[in-house]
Amino acid sequence: MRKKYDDIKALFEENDRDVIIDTARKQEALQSVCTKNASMKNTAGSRWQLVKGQLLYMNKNILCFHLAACMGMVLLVWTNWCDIQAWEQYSMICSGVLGALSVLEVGSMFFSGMTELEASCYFNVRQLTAFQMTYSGILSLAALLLSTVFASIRLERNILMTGIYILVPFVTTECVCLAVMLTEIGRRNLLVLIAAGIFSAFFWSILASMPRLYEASALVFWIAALVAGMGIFVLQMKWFFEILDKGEIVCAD
Amino acid sequence: MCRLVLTGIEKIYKDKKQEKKAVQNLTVHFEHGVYGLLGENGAGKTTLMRMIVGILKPTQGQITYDEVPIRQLGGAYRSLLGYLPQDFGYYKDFSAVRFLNYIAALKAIAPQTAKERIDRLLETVGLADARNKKLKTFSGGMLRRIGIAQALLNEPQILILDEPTAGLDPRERVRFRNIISALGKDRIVILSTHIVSDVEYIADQIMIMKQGALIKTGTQAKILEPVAGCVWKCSVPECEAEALNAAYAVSNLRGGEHSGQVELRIVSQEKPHSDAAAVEPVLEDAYLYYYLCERSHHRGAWDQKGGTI
Repeated sequence: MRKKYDDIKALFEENDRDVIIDTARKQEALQSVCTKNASMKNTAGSRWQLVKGQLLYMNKNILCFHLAACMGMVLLVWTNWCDIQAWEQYSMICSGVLGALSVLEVGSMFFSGMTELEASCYFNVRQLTAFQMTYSGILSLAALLLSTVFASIRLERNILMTGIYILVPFVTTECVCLAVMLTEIGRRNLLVLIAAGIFSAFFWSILASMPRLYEASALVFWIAALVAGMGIFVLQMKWFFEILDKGEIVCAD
Repeated sequence: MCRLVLTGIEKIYKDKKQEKKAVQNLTVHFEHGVYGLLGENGAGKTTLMRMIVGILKPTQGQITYDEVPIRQLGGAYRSLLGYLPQDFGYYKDFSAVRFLNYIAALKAIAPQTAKERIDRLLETVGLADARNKKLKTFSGGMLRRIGIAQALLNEPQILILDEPTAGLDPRERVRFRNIISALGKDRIVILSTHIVSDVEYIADQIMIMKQGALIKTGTQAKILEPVAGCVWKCSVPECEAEALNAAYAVSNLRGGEHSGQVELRIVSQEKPHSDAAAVEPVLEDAYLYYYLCERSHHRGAWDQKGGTI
């Protein structure tokens, strides 16, 4: 192969021998290529710049609510504001609210009607959904973890059991809200999604007021609910990405 | 030269009860230049554009750019695109400059480059003074202009504009025609519109769509060729005008102020009136001509009736 390239090079050199090369034009061409190359490098941002740009300019209305809910949940146990029983009830509601807000962040793209435009960009709706689900999930899980840790320290709860209890409303509310988002009416109407979130959080607050629900004997019920919720959530996300790929749901009409 | 090729494209929307073929068996290729897509509401123009953008997946067929399927190109293809949807949503609390910065971030444009381009584009679309105003305070025309600005942010190789001049006043329309015309020199520009004159002025190639199919494509001269000798102009009394309007395809009807006479422009293969004189066809006449041919499903029906409806 090397020999073949050498042959071609020799052939070119032989043919070019009689060609008079204008040094000034050659320099000009080189300059032009270098300028073009430099401008191409400048137009595409680095990965960090792109993420920073997204975080800086994206719609942060729901993210603000989300952050406030996360802080509220952590402060609830950090400040020793309530006793163990009240904490159980409040934490269930907060966990449900965080689940609803995680889905609401994705929903905000649909409610604004921007999805069609976003789908034509380098970072499309699928990637934006994944990005939003990731950061809102991390945020919620961090708040739930902190709350669990503080509860186990201050209220002397078993950390593993508390973690499981608190995750169930989060996951199930996410499932309920995602189910709503999978329907056309749910994607078009913010109120339907909010109502679903409130309903789920309310359901868990009633359940949390029931006696003996937090005893060790009920742990099997909680684990089963968590596993089922996570399974449903994974299936829903898969379905959601599949219909995003078809594209009809991102169109404005 | 880069080529965008659509081969055997079909799009079927499946409802619970029925199927609707929005685009059927469409094969076309695009090279540099401005392509004007004409057709009535529901002709499949928007669906076609969405498939070219890659938002909608065709039910059948393939779209390739430089012989590579666009779905395979993914982000690399989208980075070459500029798209203005017919109706685009926006975050109401965003200012014009924040909206463009957000789109620049989605288009993976480096911040410094984005800043320069945003300043330049806001000047181009005449929104420099409104750069910090919230989008919810914008008029329909201003929103259209910001939409055009966002489509041009990444200096796209393929520019797809769905009704770009809708809602713009005549002066703005002329300005955008010139911008689009200039852009078409070294890239593919596909625009759909109901405003035939927009296409007439700027499109190098015209495509007429009807019920999901391309019924005619070509340059303006090629489109007008079969219509020559089929456009008539006559001035008749009001009572006669009504009858002619019912019997023929009338592309224009203008009433005289006090004379009681009405001036008609008729598309017909036969002379519609003894006083009618043949005139040079324009694109609007041709559009009507092809639509009426198709309305009778086959050319024969149009011909049998002597080109009347």
